[in-house]
Amino acid sequence: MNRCLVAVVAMMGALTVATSCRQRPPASGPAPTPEPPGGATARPTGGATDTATAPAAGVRVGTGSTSFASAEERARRERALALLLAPVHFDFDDDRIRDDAAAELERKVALLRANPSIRLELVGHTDERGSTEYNLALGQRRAEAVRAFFVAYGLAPDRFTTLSYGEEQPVDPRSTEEAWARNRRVEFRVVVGGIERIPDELLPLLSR
Amino acid sequence: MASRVRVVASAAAVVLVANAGVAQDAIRLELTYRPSSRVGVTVAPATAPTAFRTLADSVTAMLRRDLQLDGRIDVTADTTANWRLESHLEALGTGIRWRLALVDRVYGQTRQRLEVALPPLEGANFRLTVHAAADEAVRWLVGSPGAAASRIAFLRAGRGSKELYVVDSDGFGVRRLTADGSIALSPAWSPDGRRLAYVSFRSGRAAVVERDLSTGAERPVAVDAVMAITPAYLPDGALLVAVARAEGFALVRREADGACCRVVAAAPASDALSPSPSPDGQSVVFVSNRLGPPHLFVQSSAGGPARLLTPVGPGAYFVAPEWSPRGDAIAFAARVDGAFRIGLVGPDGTGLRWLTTRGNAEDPSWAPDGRRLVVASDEGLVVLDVDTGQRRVLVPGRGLGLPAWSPRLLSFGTGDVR
Repeated sequence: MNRCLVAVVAMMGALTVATSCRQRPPASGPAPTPEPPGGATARPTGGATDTATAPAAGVRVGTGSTSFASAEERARRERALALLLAPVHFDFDDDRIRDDAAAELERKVALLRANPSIRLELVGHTDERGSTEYNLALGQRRAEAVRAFFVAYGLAPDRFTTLSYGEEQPVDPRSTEEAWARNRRVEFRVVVGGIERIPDELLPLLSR
Repeated sequence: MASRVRVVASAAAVVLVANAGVAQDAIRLELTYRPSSRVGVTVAPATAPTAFRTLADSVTAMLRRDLQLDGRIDVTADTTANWRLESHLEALGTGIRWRLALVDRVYGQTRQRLEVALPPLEGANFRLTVHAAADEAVRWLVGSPGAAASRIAFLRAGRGSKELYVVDSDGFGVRRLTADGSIALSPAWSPDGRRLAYVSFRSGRAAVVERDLSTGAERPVAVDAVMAITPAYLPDGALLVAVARAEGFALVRREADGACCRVVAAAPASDALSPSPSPDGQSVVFVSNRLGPPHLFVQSSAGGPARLLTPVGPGAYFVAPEWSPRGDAIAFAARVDGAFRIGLVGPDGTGLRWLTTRGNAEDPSWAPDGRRLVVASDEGLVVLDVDTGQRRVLVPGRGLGLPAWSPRLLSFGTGDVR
């Protein structure tokens, strides 16, 4: 169960269950442990999960509409922005979304649903191994994989642009496994919009 | 053996006109280069009036160096060598005339002559002119011209940037072309050597830019895509470019007149990039990960089915193909046990062999002679001779990459191999 995220999506009045694993998951299945709405999962790749995607219209996420009056709430908003912009990481020569990345992306999905004005640029990077030109393409595939993940959750494709720097912009210039792991990433840049609302399910995470 | 060669040569070369095509055919046949035996030649110091003495010294030094670097010629001080290159500088109007002659020392006869109008020492084309004369002298001696009159474009990494440079084929004359603090990648020479296409991140995302080398003017190469990488020219001046699409990079062809763009190679959920056309432009070799890891594929440059070129197996990682100007081989880089090495494979996928087995070497690019490769290695840019195995460091240093060897930029010859 560790490697699989199970979530339930309320969609069109019915209960659709999506299972998320490292490998391609079954299209749907019974949900032994229902979780709060909003955390739907589906593999961005893999046609088998198409039926489980796109809760989209009608799903109300972040009902805890908040005005950012207090300092505490401003701090919360900053933490939400940091969460939105935190990079997600990849395995070597791989553009598949890892489980840890999927968990992070799901929180971003919740924020993006609650803040529909936000548009993001997804910037793919690789480690220094591999060829310069091939890595440019690999970084682009990673950015597209993140976009596909978001789109699979029903977010509009035109909210995202993709870009790759390949191996040209490492965050850690060393030649170590640790540095390579940090450098294999997709970064997020806000093109327009900002955090105006924080969905309820993220409140515990973003409150101190 | 040498003396028999000489007899034939002297019988054929009766007309002592510079670049007399018919007479030279016989000489070329007899003097065809063989890796096992290098032709010996002495290069006499250029004679000149006092005013041109510095120029003459430069000419002599460059000539000697170019002949030596060609790899097929033994430039020797031994006065018993059969061949001797003599040259003389003199005033010609406001300019300088350089006469170059190949003397057969056995018969005491001049076999070849060349007259060149020499630009001033500080002039932009001085070195190129001497290199081109050296290429012609090489042709006299071994039957096919040298490739000294060519340049290598490459990138040098700075702090968060990569700038575009060029260097002469002898490692001198390094010049920086870009200074925008951005990232430049993947330079490619136009067939006439007058333009460079390359990838620039100047606009914030990877786009192909074309630079006019005589004026320095640049213009974007519009390909209707959010990201475009790895340009390569076809012989007719059209560009092959890899463009980003949601389902992966596709190779498209942009005509020389700007008509854009026809898809040449694409496969679902995978990339096609790093194209290199065959010398006739009919075929193209490129990299695709459609089987998982990157492999080399060949197909028609008009589109159509692709043929796998490289062996499938665990750890396969084949990139950076470049089709030889001779057409008979494709150079590439492969990642083996965590390091890059250079290999050659026939256009039909047979005859794979490794040129390097130690250290890191990648991004091979052919010299116009189709015999030498420049590669990016840990010690800098290195030139490999695939016939003789000779190697030399072209530009030392770390952070140098993606070298691209130009076509011949100037030629005095009439019977070029290309």
